[in-house]
Amino acid sequence: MDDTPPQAALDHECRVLTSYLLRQAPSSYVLAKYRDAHAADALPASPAGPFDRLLARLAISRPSLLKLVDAYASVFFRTGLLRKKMVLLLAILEVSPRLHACFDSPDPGGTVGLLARIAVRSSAFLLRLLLAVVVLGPLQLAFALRSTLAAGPGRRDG
Amino acid sequence: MASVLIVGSGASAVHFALSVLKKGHEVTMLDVGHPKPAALNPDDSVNDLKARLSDPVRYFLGERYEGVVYPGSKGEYYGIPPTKHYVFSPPTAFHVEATGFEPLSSFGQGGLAEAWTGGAYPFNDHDLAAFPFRYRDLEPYYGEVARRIGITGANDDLARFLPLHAHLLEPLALDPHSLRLLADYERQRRDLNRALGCYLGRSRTAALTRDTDDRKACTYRGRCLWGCPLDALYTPSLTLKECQRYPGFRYLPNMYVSHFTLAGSRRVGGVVAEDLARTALRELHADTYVLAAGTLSSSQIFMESFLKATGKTLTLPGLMDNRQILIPFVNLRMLGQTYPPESYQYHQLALGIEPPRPEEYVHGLITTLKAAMVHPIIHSLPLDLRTSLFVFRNLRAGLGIVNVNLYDRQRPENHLTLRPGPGSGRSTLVIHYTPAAGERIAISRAIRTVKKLLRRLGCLVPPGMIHVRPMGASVHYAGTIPMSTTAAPRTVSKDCRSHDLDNLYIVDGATFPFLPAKNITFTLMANAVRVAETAF
Ligand SMILES: Cc1cc2nc3c(=O)[nH]c(=O)nc-3n(C[C@H](O)[C@H](O)[C@H](O)COP(=O)(O)OP(=O)(O)OC[C@H]3O[C@@H](n4cnc5c(N)ncnc54)[C@H](O)[C@@H]3O)c2cc1C
Ligand code: SF4
Repeated sequence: MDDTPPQAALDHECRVLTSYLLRQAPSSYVLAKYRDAHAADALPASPAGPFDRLLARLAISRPSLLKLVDAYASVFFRTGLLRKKMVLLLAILEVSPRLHACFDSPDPGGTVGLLARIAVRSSAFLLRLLLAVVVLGPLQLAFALRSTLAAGPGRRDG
Repeated sequence: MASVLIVGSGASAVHFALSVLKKGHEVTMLDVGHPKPAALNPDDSVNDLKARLSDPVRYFLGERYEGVVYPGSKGEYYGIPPTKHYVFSPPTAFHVEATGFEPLSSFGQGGLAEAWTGGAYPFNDHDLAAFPFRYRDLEPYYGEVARRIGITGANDDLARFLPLHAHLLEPLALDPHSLRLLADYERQRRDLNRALGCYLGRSRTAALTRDTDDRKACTYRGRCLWGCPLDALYTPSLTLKECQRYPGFRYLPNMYVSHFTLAGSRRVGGVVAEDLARTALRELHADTYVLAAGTLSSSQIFMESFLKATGKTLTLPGLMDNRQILIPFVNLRMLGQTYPPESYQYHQLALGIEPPRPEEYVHGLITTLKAAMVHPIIHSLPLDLRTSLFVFRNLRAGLGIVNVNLYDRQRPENHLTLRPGPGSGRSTLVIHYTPAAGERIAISRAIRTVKKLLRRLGCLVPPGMIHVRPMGASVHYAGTIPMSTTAAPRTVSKDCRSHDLDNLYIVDGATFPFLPAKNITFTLMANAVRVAETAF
């Protein structure tokens, strides 16, 4: 079965993720490379479970949830599908014309201001993580329970 | 003059070859020798490439995006860029099996050092204590290699560990972060020396700070990792080119050597190689044979020769490699500054830690982050990716990594052997490595000391990010057919002549009886020149 999303879906995904990461729109070059990377099977093959796939779908289809899912994945799904896609995109962006500059320069402001901003952004991350645990944690539990029940009694490996 | 057949074109082989060619010998060099692709837009800086190449993603990440380092990829903070993949791609018949060791072999023209980071650190008398010669015996050859390849360095605090040889070029210009670290060290030098036994100084680097007849001085274009387009950063394929100017030199690439045939019990009669272009076996002959295919391949060819001649499988004990520990740090004093993409990319500072016993010297390379692929760093931060990118961008100019190297000594349990292939086919190289009993203590001690040093220099080590690299990762392999003053089997003489086969010399790391914490390659080259000068 071909799991690669169709071109329009990949373009949408690339737009959502680029604007989330860089607050900028992807160039047509970045869109083309993101598509090409999927066609070349660049994402390492991983048995993305149903919950992992759901997280990726939720994040792309509802950008308002993306922040929450990214925070959740940074602790509970570090090697999950969404992070892999975002890391692939980061790798493309950091070497792409014009957009690579988004990785290069610090924000304006003195040392104290920067330290304060880092502290604020890190605290915001912690809050999102907390919220994500409350919202997504039970969902993950429900998925785990469902797959245990689907496996049925007596089906134990080993 | 004798005909000399050399296997390999790496750092050891080419310097040996150049010296014997200068003496008038006929040299044939057999090599698998995948060639280096031509450099693109040689005058562009790394950021120019991103802006001007028609397909920069393909250049930096590779056709199949193999340069992307995904979360969960073994804790390394950088990968080998696709432009260097030719260095490591093996012939299909090469098989290796390893426990406790992650081997890396090269079959490229110029060998592993086509991808090296240029650290060129001479051994001193403590490092050479187990060798059958002293520093003064090697010193002229360090000078000769430095003259050939160009090595920068300074007479600074590190000179207590790193002897000053001839032909040292003035050091490279420091990037602002390295400058800051050095200044902060100098202000507290006495205390850091006394309390921690730590000494900092300029790295010794195989890069030019002056134009030569054939090569340009470094112009700080920041492309070292992807391959210096000006040849300012030395790689052995440059010396190979120099050898090719001698009429007595014949370079045969695409030749994958399997074994020597023996003429009687104590002489090599010929060398059998697979011609990869024609998929046919060839046997070649010479007066003298020289193995310089890198410790692992040289050992494999040596063992295969005895297996083919006697049916016996040898075991070569004593494999060594430096344990490396990567300690990332953030220099808060650099917060909010802009990083300089146009600077020499690799380490510009080095660190020596005075040991309780001289052979236990700990060596460190301090690399501040300049141009690099940064997505592996971003996704290794313990935050969501958007916050990670924000934090990274603001800390970028203050990020760095200390690569700490520990010494290794020969131990019988760390060995190479062969598992014979089916029929007359190639054998599999089998590698076993177990760390020394006290290694964990040595690792913890080194980490503690470096963390204290970094703190004194205004740097933080982010929790959970120290990475103890697996054995094999430093690629400083040595010790399997060591120099010995007694003519024991599976050893070589002081002149690196085999004690088993009279017309065979081995001139790579296989002959080193001890591995200090310093990067090995400068000494490999100096030793190869020493053998060529004293035995030929
Ligand atoms: C990423 C990286 C960074 C490094 N940085 C440093 C550093 O900063 N400082 C330092 O001192 N060292 C460094 N090293 C290590 C250094 O590259 C090696 O120590 C050095 O290249 C070893 O040289 P060699 O000639 O002995 O063997 P190799 O470099 O392994 O060369 C072997 C040669 O033999 C040929 N060959 C192998 N098998 C066969 C066969 N069966 N038939 C025919 N030909 C064969 C190969 O094609 C190659 O030409 C680094 C290595 C890597 C990978
Ligand atoms: S910075 Fe590196 S790539 Fe650029 S010229 Fe110097 S050695 Fe070469």
